[in-house]
Amino acid sequence: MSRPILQTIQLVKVYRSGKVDIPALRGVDISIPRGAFVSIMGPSGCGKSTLLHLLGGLDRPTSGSVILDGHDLARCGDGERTRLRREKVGFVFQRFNLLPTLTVIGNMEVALAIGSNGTLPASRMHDLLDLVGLGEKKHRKPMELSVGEQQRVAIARALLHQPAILLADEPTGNLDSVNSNLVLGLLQDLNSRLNQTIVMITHNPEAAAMGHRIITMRDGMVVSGGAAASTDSTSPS
Amino acid sequence: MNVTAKLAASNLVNRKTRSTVSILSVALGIILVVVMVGISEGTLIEHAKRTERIGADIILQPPGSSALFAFNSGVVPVKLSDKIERLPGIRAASPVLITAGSKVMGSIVLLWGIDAETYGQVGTGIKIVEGRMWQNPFEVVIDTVWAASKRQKVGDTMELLNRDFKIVGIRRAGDGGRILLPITTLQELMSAQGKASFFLVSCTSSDVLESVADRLRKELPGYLPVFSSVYTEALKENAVALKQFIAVLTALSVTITFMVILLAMYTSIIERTKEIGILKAIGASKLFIVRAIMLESTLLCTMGILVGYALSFAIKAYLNHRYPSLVVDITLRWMLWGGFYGMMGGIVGALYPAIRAARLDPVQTLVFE
Repeated sequence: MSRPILQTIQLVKVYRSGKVDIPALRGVDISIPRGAFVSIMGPSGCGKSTLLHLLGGLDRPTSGSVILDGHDLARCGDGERTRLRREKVGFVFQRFNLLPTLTVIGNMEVALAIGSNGTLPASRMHDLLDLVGLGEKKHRKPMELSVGEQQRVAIARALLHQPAILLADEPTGNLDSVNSNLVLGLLQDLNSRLNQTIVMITHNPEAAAMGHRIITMRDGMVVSGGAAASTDSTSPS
Repeated sequence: MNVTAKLAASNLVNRKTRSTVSILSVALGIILVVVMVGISEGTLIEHAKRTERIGADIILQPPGSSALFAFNSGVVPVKLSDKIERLPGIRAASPVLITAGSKVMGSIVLLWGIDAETYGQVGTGIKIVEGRMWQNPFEVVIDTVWAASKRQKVGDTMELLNRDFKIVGIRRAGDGGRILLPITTLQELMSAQGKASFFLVSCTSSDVLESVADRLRKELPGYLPVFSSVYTEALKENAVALKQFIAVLTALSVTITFMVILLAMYTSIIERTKEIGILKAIGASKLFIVRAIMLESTLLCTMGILVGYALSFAIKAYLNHRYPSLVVDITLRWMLWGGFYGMMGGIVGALYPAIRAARLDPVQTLVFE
């Protein structure tokens, strides 16, 4: 069996508020094989977003490990985590998080400059914008796009440096059903056609069902779906 | 355009009010240095050059005086004139009494009390272009610049030191004071009877200047003979108060720029916390973020400096139009220094916000609203 692209081992995250410890994750073990499309579900406050931040190296765990493509993020310093995030992770957020002062292509250029150190050709930006169907709108600013289009730009930006894993935090949370279906279809397409590994947090069971596997969380723990199954890397029928 | 520069430029363009206020504030710092130094140095140098152009060979200053004799009025006994003129190599000596601080028609002006007869002997003389020299104690001669700027003509009266004077002549501008009056009248008004501020001395030939200066030092211990040809430089060297004034202006300018940029960039960081989080999420290093913010600050400062230069010239043009006798000497040297100080203030001011932004927690910044 091949090494998982992402794995957590007894992952614990405790936030401190004054003198009170607030546990967000209480020993999470998950394993994501390369090419998998995994959904994470659970009620609000169960630790989904915290888990996603730790998986993407945005935060450090209190204890335990996050192994991303062979690197333990828990043992990396800030600089190393930033590098791994730049090279191996693509983020898609609920609120798109595009830079509002730049155009679509400007957002892509910033990501290209940050992520590739000049190693990727500029044509990749245009190819990805064409892939998400926004090639014609690249000179518009985010506010001049629909919310669905903004999310598609965010996906294109996240894929720019060919990340090992795409982490999506409620990518359809701000979208209507039409745009939700478009974005979910796009993610599914990326997974099946490009073998893009995707971990998606969602509240929506229908959206979660798009993945190969659903990890369910409650009270900072995984209650089901944490371990990789043999069907992880195959598209759902 | 470089991506970081594009990001910085887009932030400036999209936050017009903040950018405009910051640019104008940096410009204010530049104006402070360029225009105020231009006025103070320009006035001083113009005064020195007009003194040089009188045509005397030596300016003899009293003991312990600064080159800014105008503010050290009436300490030289006029009767020294006889002793000076008797020294070998000296052709003529003329006492001059100067006083400042008299506000005449809205302008502070130096009043030059001269002895018309000897004044003409030490230099090229007074070239009257209209009217005549004075014949009575309360008559004055003004120069063409003063006449034009104050729209005064022969026959008008002007109040000097609380007394009315009649303008009897207008002379060609270029040397000496803008307003000349009899030294005895000025002595009386200043209660400095028999005193002068300095002597203008002319020599029999340029070959004897050094020996005359040595004799003056020997015969009049403590007195300072300054060659007219280096008077401007000597004045600048000795203008301690001016140097202090410029140092204060410079410090003020740097402080203004530092505070404005610090505040502008700090506010900007708070406004853009989420954007910084986005950059961090897509893998921007601390260096990238510091660079982006420093570049934005540099752009702000550059525009502020350019606007400051433009406004300085506009102010100079206005002042020249409104007060033709006022000298505003905008020099490349002080433009460059002003720009340098402005840029330094901006860079130092942006450093803390930039480092703070680079250290922001990406998770906290992403949830920031």
